[in-house]
Amino acid sequence: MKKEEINSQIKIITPTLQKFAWAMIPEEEMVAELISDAYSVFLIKSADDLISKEITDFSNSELSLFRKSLAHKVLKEIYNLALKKADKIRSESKRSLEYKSFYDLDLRSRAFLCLVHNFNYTDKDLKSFFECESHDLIEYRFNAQANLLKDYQDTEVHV
Amino acid sequence: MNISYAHINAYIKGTLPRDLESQIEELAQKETSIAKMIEEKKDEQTLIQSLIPSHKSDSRSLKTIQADLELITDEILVEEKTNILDKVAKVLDTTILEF
Repeated sequence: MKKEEINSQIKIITPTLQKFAWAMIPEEEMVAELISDAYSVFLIKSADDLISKEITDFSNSELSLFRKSLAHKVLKEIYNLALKKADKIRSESKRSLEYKSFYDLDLRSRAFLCLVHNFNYTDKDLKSFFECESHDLIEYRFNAQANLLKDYQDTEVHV
Repeated sequence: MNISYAHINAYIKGTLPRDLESQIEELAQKETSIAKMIEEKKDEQTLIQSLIPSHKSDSRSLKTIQADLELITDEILVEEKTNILDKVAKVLDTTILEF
């Protein structure tokens, strides 16, 4: 695969990457930094695979699957980097009052909710993303939704 | 049919098979408690969805990120360029006719 082909595919999935990175941190500059760093890590890990892959003859559905897999891998790197930068992200997140209940959640819960509600991730996708078992997903889902609603209700009471 | 929370959740998500979906709808018509539970769950999901940000990017920031990613691709990926001498050597090594 040529650089131009990779770039054209990445261009299509950039809004997805951006939406997810915003769920990790509501700060424009940090979003751009997070995406760039995550993409660099992904490319370094996958350079050989990407160069040897031929997508010129791919049908539209094959291209769509390829893009889904590409987005999945870069989103995973964004999430992993966000976890590593958690302290910095936590302090920046406090700035956001909009979607406060959401940004008060931990990064895993935010990632989980964003993947499920914004990107319609299936359980299979989620297991691959979080590298976990089905029973872990039940716990993640319950905690994310319960904490989000609890925080929202607490905020409503105080308003 | 025994209705579980999993059935209700799948029904709300729209991932339940058509036959089970019809059974739940019939049951909800007969039993108000089931209908109420479905409504409450639907409302909860709508509320959860409204609490999750779905960032709409402006074209300027999107283009900046896309340009950054292109630069990263150019810097990190090194396409294999076949040396012209290697190509000549390959041709010379090829047996054209064999007796």
